[in-house]
Amino acid sequence: MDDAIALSAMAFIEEALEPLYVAHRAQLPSDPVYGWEGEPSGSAESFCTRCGSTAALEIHSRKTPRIDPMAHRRSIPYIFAFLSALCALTHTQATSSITSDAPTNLSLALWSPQPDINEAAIEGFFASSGHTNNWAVLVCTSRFWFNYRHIANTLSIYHTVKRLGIPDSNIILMLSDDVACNPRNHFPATIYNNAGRFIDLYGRNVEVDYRGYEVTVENFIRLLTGRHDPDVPRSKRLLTDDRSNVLVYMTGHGGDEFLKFQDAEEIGSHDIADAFAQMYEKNRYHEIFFMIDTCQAASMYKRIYSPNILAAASAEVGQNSYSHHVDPDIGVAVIDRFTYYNLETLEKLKGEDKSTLQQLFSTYNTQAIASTPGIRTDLYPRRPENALVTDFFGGVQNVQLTTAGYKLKSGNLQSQTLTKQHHPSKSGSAKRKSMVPPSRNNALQVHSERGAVSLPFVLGLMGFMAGVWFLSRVI
Amino acid sequence: MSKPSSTSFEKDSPDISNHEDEDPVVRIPVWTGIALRLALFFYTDASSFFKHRVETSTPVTSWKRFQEGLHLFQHGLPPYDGGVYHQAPLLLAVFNFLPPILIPFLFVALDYWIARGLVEIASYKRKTLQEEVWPEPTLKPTLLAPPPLEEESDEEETETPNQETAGLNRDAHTEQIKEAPKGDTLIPPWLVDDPATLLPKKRPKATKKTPSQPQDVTRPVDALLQAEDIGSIYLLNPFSVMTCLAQSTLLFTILAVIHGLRFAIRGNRSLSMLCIAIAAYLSLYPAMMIAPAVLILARNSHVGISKEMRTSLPLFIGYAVALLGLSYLLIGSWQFLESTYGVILFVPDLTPNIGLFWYFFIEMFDQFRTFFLCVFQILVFIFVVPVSMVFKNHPLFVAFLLTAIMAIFKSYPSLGDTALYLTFLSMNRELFKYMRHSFLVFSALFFASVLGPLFYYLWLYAGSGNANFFYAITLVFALAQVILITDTGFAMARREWDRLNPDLRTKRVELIHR
Repeated sequence: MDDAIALSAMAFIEEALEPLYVAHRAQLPSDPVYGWEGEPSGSAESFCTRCGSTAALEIHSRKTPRIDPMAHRRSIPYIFAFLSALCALTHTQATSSITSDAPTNLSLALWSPQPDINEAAIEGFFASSGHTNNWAVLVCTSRFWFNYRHIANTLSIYHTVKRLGIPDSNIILMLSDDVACNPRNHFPATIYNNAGRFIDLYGRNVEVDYRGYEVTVENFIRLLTGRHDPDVPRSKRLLTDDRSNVLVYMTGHGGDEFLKFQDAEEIGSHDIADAFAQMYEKNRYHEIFFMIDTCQAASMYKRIYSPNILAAASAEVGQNSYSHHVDPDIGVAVIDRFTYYNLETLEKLKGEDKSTLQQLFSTYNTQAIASTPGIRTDLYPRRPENALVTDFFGGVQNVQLTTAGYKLKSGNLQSQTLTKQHHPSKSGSAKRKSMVPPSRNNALQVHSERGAVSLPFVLGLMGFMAGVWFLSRVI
Repeated sequence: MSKPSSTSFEKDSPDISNHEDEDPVVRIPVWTGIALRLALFFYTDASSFFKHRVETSTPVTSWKRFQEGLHLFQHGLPPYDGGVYHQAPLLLAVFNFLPPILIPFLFVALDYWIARGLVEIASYKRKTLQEEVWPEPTLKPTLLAPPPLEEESDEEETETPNQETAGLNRDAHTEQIKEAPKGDTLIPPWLVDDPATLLPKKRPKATKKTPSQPQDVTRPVDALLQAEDIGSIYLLNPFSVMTCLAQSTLLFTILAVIHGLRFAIRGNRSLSMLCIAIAAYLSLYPAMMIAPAVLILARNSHVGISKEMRTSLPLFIGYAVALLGLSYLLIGSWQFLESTYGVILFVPDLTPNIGLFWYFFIEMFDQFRTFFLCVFQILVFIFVVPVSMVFKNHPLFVAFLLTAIMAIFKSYPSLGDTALYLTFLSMNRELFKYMRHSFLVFSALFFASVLGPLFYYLWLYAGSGNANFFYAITLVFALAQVILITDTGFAMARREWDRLNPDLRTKRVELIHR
């Protein structure tokens, strides 16, 4: 009976959310997508009846596979939200009678009242890091054929995060040049990151959001801060919230505190720091992992001053980053060393891997990378040993149906997380302290009375006049 | 109105009483200037025009800045915190409880008060002029024969043995003189070269309009000073009208200076020192006016100058300290010292004005700034002692020179200072005939007065000039004033020399520098 309730709840949710899906032309979880020619139903010129956006779902070079294995995962956030709303609702009723154990609340209507659950297992089930969704911003800043490897770097990370669970809708891929279709490319329409040409990074399922000359410093900062023109489509926006873990990966040519964009402009370390600060102010991230593979890359993260940011760079200040190897048939280097050795570790991970970032960092071999990687952890609240690689590189969502009940108690970490979901509190948490400096009113003491002619002055004035009168008589 | 004098031609001594018919100058009453100001205040927007003119409002006298400070003060905030207000604290107390509608009336009243003070000073000047003793020459001057300079060598070393110039003009002159009608026509020395005198003409009668000729023909004939005119001259001077319309707080300083001299004339040492102390408290530089005040007091009380100083100076210092103490009580801290006197002395605000400091210190490198600040400030004060020593018998002339020096060399001068010393100049009309460069001076003053605003406009509004234009005109203005000072100084010295060397009055004298 509980199964039936749960299944009917699922069906109810789907039915309730169907208009949402249809309006935004998303794939309903239960609809399979057939082949290339399967266009989603509905006219191309339709618009969302709720928000009026005509570019709700842009089709880029969407080459969807026959079956989208991730299709059902898109609905997971919605389901999770609904369920947590339900739990929160019951929880508020439960907390009102904190000491009473009487099962008179709504939760028991849905869940069977069996309190003997292995809470440790359940608590470990949910992500302890505190984030609920993952985003990735992958930026390649170099153009021209000889910077092939930077495109390959970015696409390698792109495929990694996609494989580990971040959907295209949560990835912003910025490629400054199209080397796949470059006339010099001996293997047109392909990009390889290895001389063995094992994987075509550009083959299928690549969704580039900012291409070519759209990759500019201004667009990058607008992306991070969320300050777009109204006509910028949703696919080009970073729609993160305060529970999003964001991976920001940048590669290209850089120097001491700058990174060159498109051979015409550069972004400074202060710009990135300020953009992250704006993101913090607007609660646009939960944690950021800033990875950068350029020359003197460590200079780019040293100006960051916002909390919850972890940074890794390929080289310290004063050092260059080097490419790994050249594909003689392509004629240019195809991968950079830092990214190559990162990929060696990342490619071995699976979705539910519990590898920590510290394990990733410990695989960095200065000799092999030919430069000293830099790690910045002072702004990060957790230690890298406690942070999972998939906290940033993957989009791991743990949802498991259970027939057993879970009684939410107050003072519980999980319940705090759940309540925080819907009460994005600005109070109490140290992470949410305002960055506005306290007003300095020490210098001003505003008196209340008008015309501050004080009594001592009046007395002094009278004495002065008396003295003048007296002296003019005497002298 | 005094009775019309029934002076005959041959009066032994000039009449001291006020002969209103004697002065050929048209006399203008003081109320015309007041009416002009009131009309301009209330029927035109000239006031707001002049309030932001750079010639009339400086960082230390601007009304707009004063309003800022007053506003802060009235709301209980420290008035000097804004960094805009640099004027004395006690001014805030004056205006604190004054309704704003009365403010133009206050400034017009200040100007009237100044004019009344000037009238009193002018009548004192008139009195001293008439009391001047001109010793008679020992020999009756005979202008008809060319005075052989080599023979009549006197004790004065300044007279030159004009041998080298004996050949110049002198012969022509003597020939002319020989042709001049003989008789008892005595030509005053200043008309010697005047071709009109060579024509035979009747001796001018001493009518009611001209003062009776003194017996001593070598004594210069000056139109008598009419005191009321001086007040009108001040009030109708366009510079002072502009200053009043701009509601510049310089008027308080001018008022204090004038009354310092006025009370000194009356012999009231305490009030005189009080007024000078107020002036020094407001603007710092008028502390120099102790010198003429002390000179006047010494003369009036017939004591020596050093003794007078010994009694007056402690008064001045006492009053100044008392004023500073009152300011401290008003403001509550000594912060105002840095904002008022610090600004006057260290010139941090380089807003353009008609002075010499701003341009110079804009382009000054920091390592030289202190040195040049010291030089410039010393330049203002260093003239006090020499000028007072040279002209110790003419305290009002000392006042004139010192106010003129202040107007040129102080850190933030404005046209109000110019108006003040021009009024003093108008009291010294007897010097005009001894001035040598008057045409140059007044032409340059007029020229600079016209071009100054023009170049300011070109520089800042039209954008087709630059600061050099305006500063150059400022320099011309300053140069004209400097030449005026030197010329009048020379004129006074020359006149004094004429007075004290009666036998050389009719001789040609050449000034040489050894």
